[in-house]
Formats: sequence, structure tokens, C-alpha cells
Amino acid sequence: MAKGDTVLDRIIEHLDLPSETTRRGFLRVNLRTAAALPVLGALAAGSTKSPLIILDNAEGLVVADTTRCVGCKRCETACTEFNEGRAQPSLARIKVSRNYNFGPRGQQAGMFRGMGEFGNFRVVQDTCKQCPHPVPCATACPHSAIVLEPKTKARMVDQNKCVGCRMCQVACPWEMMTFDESAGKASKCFLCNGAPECVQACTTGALRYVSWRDLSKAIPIRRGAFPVTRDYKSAGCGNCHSIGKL
Amino acid sequence: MPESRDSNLVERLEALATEVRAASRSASVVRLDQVWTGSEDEFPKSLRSDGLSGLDDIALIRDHGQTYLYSERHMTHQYAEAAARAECEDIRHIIAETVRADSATYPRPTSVESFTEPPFRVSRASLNAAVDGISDDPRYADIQAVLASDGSRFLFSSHHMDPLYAASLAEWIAVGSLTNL
Amino acid sequence: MPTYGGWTGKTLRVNLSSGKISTEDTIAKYKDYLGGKGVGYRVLWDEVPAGTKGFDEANKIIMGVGPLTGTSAPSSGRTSITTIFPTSYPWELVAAGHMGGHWGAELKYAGWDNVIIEGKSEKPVYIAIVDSKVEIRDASHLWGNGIYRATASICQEMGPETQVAAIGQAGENLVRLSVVNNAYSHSAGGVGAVFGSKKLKAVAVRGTGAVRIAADKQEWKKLTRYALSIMGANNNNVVPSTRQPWAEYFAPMSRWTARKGLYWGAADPPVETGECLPEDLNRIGMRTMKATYDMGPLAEKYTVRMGGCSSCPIRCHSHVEVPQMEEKYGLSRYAASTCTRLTAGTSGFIESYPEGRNGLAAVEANIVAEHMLDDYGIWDNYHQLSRDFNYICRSGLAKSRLSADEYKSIPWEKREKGDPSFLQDIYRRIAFREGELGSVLGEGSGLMAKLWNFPEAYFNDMRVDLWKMGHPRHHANEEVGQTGVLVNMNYNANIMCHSHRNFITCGLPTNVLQTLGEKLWGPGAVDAPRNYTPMNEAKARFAVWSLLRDELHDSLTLCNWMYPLASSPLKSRNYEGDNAIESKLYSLVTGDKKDVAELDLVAERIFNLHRALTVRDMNTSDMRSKHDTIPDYVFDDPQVGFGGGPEGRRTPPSGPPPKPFTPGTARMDRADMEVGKDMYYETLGWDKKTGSPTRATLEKLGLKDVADKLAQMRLLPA
Repeated sequence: MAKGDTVLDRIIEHLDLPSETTRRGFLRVNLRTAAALPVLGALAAGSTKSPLIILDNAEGLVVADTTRCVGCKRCETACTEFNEGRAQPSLARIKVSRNYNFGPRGQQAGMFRGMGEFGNFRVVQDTCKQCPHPVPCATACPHSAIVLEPKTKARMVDQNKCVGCRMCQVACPWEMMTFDESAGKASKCFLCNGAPECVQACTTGALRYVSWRDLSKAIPIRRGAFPVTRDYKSAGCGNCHSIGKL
Repeated sequence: MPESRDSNLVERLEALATEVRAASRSASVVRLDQVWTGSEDEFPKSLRSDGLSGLDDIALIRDHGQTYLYSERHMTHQYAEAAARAECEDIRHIIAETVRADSATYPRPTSVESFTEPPFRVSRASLNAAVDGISDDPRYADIQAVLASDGSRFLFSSHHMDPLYAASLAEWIAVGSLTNL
Repeated sequence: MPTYGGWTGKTLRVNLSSGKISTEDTIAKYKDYLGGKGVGYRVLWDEVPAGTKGFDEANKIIMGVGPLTGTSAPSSGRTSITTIFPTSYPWELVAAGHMGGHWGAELKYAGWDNVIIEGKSEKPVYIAIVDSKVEIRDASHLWGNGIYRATASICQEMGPETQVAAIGQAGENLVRLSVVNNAYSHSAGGVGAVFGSKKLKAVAVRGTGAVRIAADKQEWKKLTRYALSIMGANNNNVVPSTRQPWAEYFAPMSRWTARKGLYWGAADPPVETGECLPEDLNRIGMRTMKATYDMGPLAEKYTVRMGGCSSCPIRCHSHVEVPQMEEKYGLSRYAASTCTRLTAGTSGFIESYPEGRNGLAAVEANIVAEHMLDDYGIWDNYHQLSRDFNYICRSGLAKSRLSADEYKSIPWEKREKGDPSFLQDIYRRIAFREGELGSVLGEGSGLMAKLWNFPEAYFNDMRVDLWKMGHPRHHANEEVGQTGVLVNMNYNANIMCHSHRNFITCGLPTNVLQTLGEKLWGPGAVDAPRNYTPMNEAKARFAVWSLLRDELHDSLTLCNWMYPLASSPLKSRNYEGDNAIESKLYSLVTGDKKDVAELDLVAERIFNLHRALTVRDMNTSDMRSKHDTIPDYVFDDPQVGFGGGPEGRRTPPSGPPPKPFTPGTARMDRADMEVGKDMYYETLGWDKKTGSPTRATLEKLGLKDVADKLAQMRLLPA
């Protein structure tokens, strides 16, 4: 392949890779070697900001068996009590209470014909899919505050960088972003350093921590996401995707 | 028999222990003479000695002239007693010893129906045949029956309780407690 | 002023007459009473005049939770509803209904510790609480509806995550035997009609806030896991119900029913309950398969899952799917409940069913009854309602007291046949006060007995099983001898105390219980089952412990069906639980360090306030003879101890009826129970002659103002 002059080419040059590497080869290699490409945007846009584009997948995932959920909600209180020191289901990064009465689709018909305690008794536990690239919440964050947790590669809100704009909240199709009103910061499931508190707390073994796999296409979304991203970030997409001239 | 430092012996015992643990996990005891080719005298008196570290969960239990093994990691002594007893061909022996144990321990009469459940799994036909007239056998003269008002049958040992007491406990278990939620 | 964890610090007051909504400082006013019943009693003492009746405008309703509610303290999802009870007869006195579910936790997340409801609305209303925003809203569109529809409607107005505590038509129609219900199957008995008298349809809550844990979060996690590690199954039964390899002991009546081959048969696909090793904290929720326990083996295939209250690892509410409910009875196939609310169909309304109490008709009848009770919001009163109906049928009183027309209108042939749809007719009559029968049945045993002029024999009929003041025996001598009798004496309504019974029936052998009991209360507290010995001080201490802990739990809040954790399933602990667990949970959550004795003192304060209210409102200090009464059958019935139920009791095998303190009977002895009362009062520091709290005791507990008031009314013992 002819040596080009794109940012990608310059990076390929920068790294010590076989000379016949194609773009696809680069991306494949990259997933193993470098989790993220902080430099792309800066090089592309020539700006001083370096947006984070998460490419690596998470190591693990919390999966939920809805037929074993007994609605005790100990997962929610464990999530916040053992992380923030207070019981606050609205802040919990695993979500059961919102589905408890009528199921994930809320109340569309009185009682008895839906899900949840007032339906067919099915309680659905919503867990973060730790989305593969593109990570909706991370992409929406104007300050690249959603980063990779080093041990598990969970997508995690860096509390120091978060400014509380809530753009991530509207970006997540499963409404898994929470917001700590008292701190003014977003929060999300970060897999508790590889030993998720919710999994430890579950009284029936309905929650398990397993190797990551892509559930983002398998689980129905809760809302039409409102993807928002800054210009310099979308320009960054062009480094791997052919989006033409902006 | 010297304390086991013989590595061949240790190896045999470790293999045996693996088998016994697996059996215990499945709620079964293992008959010694089925896993130990030597005589019972040659089997280490205790599996808790110096050269046998890591085997101290393996315990012995004797019933009806046989010796059985189980792992204390996966089975309690009381359950092992019942499981060993369950291996006996003589159903009356199974019934009598179990009833005596329950009557002494709690105290409580034993429902006849419970012998159809693990670890005994006696068929109803065999059970009825064994229970009828059990106290006629001089070995089991203390094993007596009492009927609750719903027709369910209980057995108790007269060594540990009298008929009136057994009847009241049986009635409570079978009928009274149901409406005493 | 130190800030505490646990409490939100805010108590809500809603005046339905004036519409005024105000906030009070929980810590300043009520910290010494914790919450729940404690706060309820304090409000009733301070604000509700002596002699106020249940339906009077001056009566107040205190829906209270406590510092532990909403946290992951195991089994802390309870709410107490304290008020003057309309079913307490002949004096309407202080009592509390209790409900689990999820309402209580939600109230804490909304930022409230208690809701005090006073006055009376002219029109039907409901109280809507969304965090700090509280409104009294019109409920005229909800009035006349059952609890199911009212709940669904309110959720449409307030959001699908709302927790709704509502009354049904029974409460609206001032049926004394009515409830408040939340989360489908969780009801507080006896209080529904008080809500109805205030035209209050529901209190609905949404909360997005937090309950702060004062302690370091790792320390708190360690304590919650420790508490979980020593808990048993439902009713803190600590051994399985069948012989299992991991267990030394088993007990046929244990609620630790999980085993290989027993399934939630209607799960999708079925879920095996399996072996639940006590060390496995991720299987605690599987231990209690209650549907088959309550309704027999047929219920296995109908069970979707188990469920229950917020934060509780023990799921004791069976959730069943019974398809034929729709076609046969026009009711939802989905039903949930536990204990008496899942066995009301087989407790006396219908004498017998084809194929017996575990047959299909019986199972269907139990589901029909559950829906009737939970939607109409009728209080079963621990099956007293069923037994009273059975009584009026078999005694001929139904025939003689009802007009010919009304008698004929009742579908008796359905009752004969064991047709569960009979229950739909009867419960409807009760909910809507239809006819003489409907009206009278809903009044409760005390008033009904008066209105229909029941013979004296009614009060001592063991098939009726009444204790006193319109409420039934509930875990008395039949299982816990004198201790049970002392516990039953104390309340003014349904005796909702399980501390003593849970311990005695936890499934451990007698000698183990005696060792544990000796450590807690001294030698002699525990007798072998059905083999009682004369009264002793240890038994009195056991009774006091049972009651104080019950008051404590209903104020903290914790579930008295699980706590106290007097025993545990762990052989490594010699089956000992932890008598100080409540104080440990309390100390870490609130940051207010109290050891077991200090927290028990708070419980004693709360219990004494209940006693003082009872004295005040009965206008006598002679509790001993006027209030602490024991039905004659406890002493006289020769068959006490031979079990039985509505079907009757069988005769003992031979010989004369067993005397008290002989093996095989639960009969008590009158003189012995007088000694029991003496010892009990002495343990509590109450006057022996009257059973009434003394000034010294009240002052020791920080209740000097109560002592002064009682003195003023000449109600302090001499």
C-alpha cells in the first residue's frame, strides 16, 4: 500500500509495524495494543483538544437472568452503599426499581397483561452492556470524561473530568447513565474493580459477572438515543471511517 | 500398621478420597470394601495423621456390620449415618434406627412417608410391608405406630417417648401446624 | 446537633381537614422513639385525646419507617401504621398494622421518616409525595375502585415507579376488617377503614434521594454480609425441611423447603430450588419455596418465582400463575401472597373441598380468596374472619339471625359443593356491606358477637380460636407454653409477634435450643415441644425479650418474621445467632452507637408507651384483670395439644385428658399462669398487682411526662 499522508498513516509510521500493514491491519493490531487513540482528533483537527475514542472491548460484563430475579433490590443498594456510602436506587448503576412494577416498557396497560410485579411477575434487571465501539456515552461526552477503567476496561466516568452536562444521559439507548445530583456528576457501571457489588449481593445468583460479549445488539433499547457529539470528535471518526470532507 | 508414610499408600488414599468426596457431593456414602482391596484392619485407623495431610475430611461410619466412607466437607455425620443405614437390605433396620434417632434427638416421631425420600428411597410397597407388624419383631419392639387424624402414619420409639406424647406431636406435625401459620 | 445516618430527619404532617402540609424534625422530636410504632405511640400520646375512637376525626394515622428502612440492612423493608384500631373491642385502643413491600423504602428515598395524617377530608383524596413535593390530590375518580385499579391509576398519574399504599372498597365502606395494601400483595391489617373514615384513598410515593450510612462503607458491607451469613430461611428456620447432606438436622415444618427436585414450576423455564448451602449467600433467596408449603404439592407447577419486601434476602411471597382463574372466576391468573393470605380459601369459609385441602379446588379457592382480600382490601385477621363465618354456619346463627330472603340469596349450594366461586359472593358482601351478613362479618369478632348476641361458648370454642378483644390467638401456648400466653396477653389487636415462635420452631433439637436459650434468658426458658414445665423467671425473660424485640423491629424497621437472629444455620457457631445484631446494624447505619442493652432500653421505652396508652384509654390501671386476659380453653380444653384445625381436634389415643405439665399437652394451669404474670410484670418493672407501669419504670425510661399525666388521671399504680 502506498504510503499516504493521512493522520492514520502518520501514526502507522510512528508505531513499529510491518511495512505492508493495511488500514484494517492497523485497526486489528490497534485493538490489541492500544485501547484508545487520544491523538487522532488533535492531529486531524489541529486543535488542542484530544478526544478519546474507545476502541477496546471491556473484559467483563454483568449479565442478568430475569427468571431468577426476585425483586429484593439488594443489587441497587449494594451498588451505591458500597461505592458512595449511601442507599440510593436512583443512583444505582444496575437498574431494577424502574422496571419493578410494570416492566421495562412502563405502564402501557393497567395491570396483569404486562411484565413486572403488576404483570407476569417478570422483573428485568437493566445492566450496562459496556458497549463496544462506538461507545454511545463516551462518544457523546464533550470532555472525554468517560474513560477505560484500567483493570476491567469498563467504561467509567472520570469524576475529575465530568462537568455534569448530562449529554451522556441522552446518548445511552438503555438509559443506563445515572446522575449524582449531590455531586453534579454523571456515573455509570464501572464493574467495581472486577468484583461487581451487585453480583455479590444478588440473593438468587440471578446476576453473574462473565467474559464480555456484545449484548448491545441483543437487548431491546429503552429510548431513542439522542446522539450528540462535538465537531472535533466527529472529525476524529474520519480517521478510520470514510466520511468525506466536512 | 505403621503410620502412613508409604507413598504408594498415600496415592491410593488420595484417589480413594477423590472418589469419596464426589460421592458425598452426590449425597452418597461409599462402602469401604468396594474401594479398599486390603482388609479393613489394614485401612489407616485415622486419616488425620502426619503423612496423610489433606485427607482429614474423610471419615468412617459403621452400620449393619459394614463400614462406609464419606467426606465431612460435603456431608454431616448425621446424614452419613442415615445414608449408611439406607444401604442396608433390611428395611426394618433402616426404619428402626432412624426412628430411634429422631425420637431421641428432637424429640419427634418420624413420618412413614419420609422413608420414600432421600437417602432411603424405599418403595411404598416395601415400606408398608416392613412397617406392618414391625414391633412384633423382638429386635424392634420399641418401634410403634401412631395415626394422625388425616390418616398419615408416624413411628416413634418407646425408648424415648410414650404413645400419648407421640400422638400429640404427630397430630401437630400432620394437621395442627398447617393452620398455625 | 450531631447528624445521623439512617434517618432523613424529616417527618411529614398532612392535615386533611385544613389541607396544611408541614415538616417536622424527626431527630429533635422522635429520635428516642426511633420510628415506626415508637413514633406512632408518641404522637398518639401527645396529640390524640384519651377515649378517641378509630373513626373519630381526632384519630391520627402514623405511617412510620425507621433509620434502617431503605438500607441494605437485611429485611428492613417494613412500614408500621399506628392508629386507634376500630377492631379492638370493646375499647378501641392503640395498635398497629404492618406492611412490607416497597412503600417504606420509597418513603425514605423521598426524604421522609414518617407521615402523620390527621383530620378528615370532605371529599376522597390521596396524598402524592414526590421527593419533597407533597400534594393532597383529588381521588374521586379512584373512589369505589379496588386496590388494583387504584394503584394502576395512580401510577399513570405519578409514574410507573410509584409505590402506592391504598385501600379498597372495604376501607372506603368503613368495614372495620380492612387493610392498606402496597406492592400487590403486602397489606397492613386493621387500618384500612381508618383511612376510609378520613376519605383517604391512598398515599403514593416516588423518591429519588438517598439514605446515608454513617459508617465506613467497607465496615458496613462487612456487617451486612455477616448478618446475611447467620440468617436462616423464612421465620428464621435454620434447618431444611428434608434430610440434606450438608445439614445435621431437619424439621418437616421448616420453611427452608428448597431441595433437589423442587421447582418454581412456572418459571420460564422452571428453576430448581435445589440445595442451598448456608454459606452460599447467592442462594439465600432460594431457600424458602412457600407456595407448596402453603398450598400443597399442586402449587409447584403454578409457581413463577418467590418475592417479597425491599432489601430482604428471604423471599416469602409466592408468585403464582394459575391460568384457569381467568376463565373460571374472571380473576387475574397472576396472584401473590403468603401465609394466611394464601390460605384463606381453606380456613373455614368453605367446610371442605373435593380432593381435600391440597386438591385443585382448594388451591383455586386460595387464589380466589387472595384476590378478593388484596383487591377489596379486606382484613382476614389471621383467619378469624373465616373461622367466624364457619361458626355462624355450623351454630345455626346464620340461619336464625338472617332474614329468610337474605339467607336464600346466599349461594349455599356452592359452599356444599366446595365451589371456590362461593368466596367471591361472600367477600363481595363484606366489602360492600351487603345485607346483614355482609355488614356484621366486617365488624370484627368483638362487635359481631355483640350485635348477634353470640353465646358465651363462642369465646371458648377452640375452633373459633379467639383470644380476646376481637382478635385471635397467635402463637400462644400451643407451641411456646407460658411464654406464648404472656406474649398474647399484651396487645390490643392482632398479636403480631413472632420472636418467640421463630426461635422455638426454628427446627433445632430441644437440647440445642435449651443451650441457646439458657445463654439468652437463663436456665429453664425452653421446654421440649408439647412437654411443658412450670413457670420460671427465664420464661418471663423470654417473653419480655420477644415483645421488646417486636416493638424494636417495628420501629427500626426490621422484619419480626426474621429477627431476632437468636439461632443460625451454622454448625461452626453451634447454631448460635447474634443477639446484638439489631444494635450493630443500628449503630453503623445511624452512627449513634448503642450496644444491645442500650437499644433494648429504647425498645422498653416504646413498649411502655404502648402500655401507658392502653391504661389511659381503658381508663384503668388494672391491666392484670381487665386487659391481660387468657381464654379458658388454654386451661380447660382437654385436647389442647392435639393439633387439628377447623376440621376439629381428634381425641387422644386413650385414657383421661392429659393434665398440664405432662407430655403431650399444651394445656396450661391457672395458678401457674398467675405466677407467670407476676414474674412477667416483675421483669418489666410493672406493678405486680395491676400489671401497670410504675413511675419508677417510666422515669427510668425517660417517660416522666407520661408518668405525670397518668398520675393526674389517677392511673399510676399505688
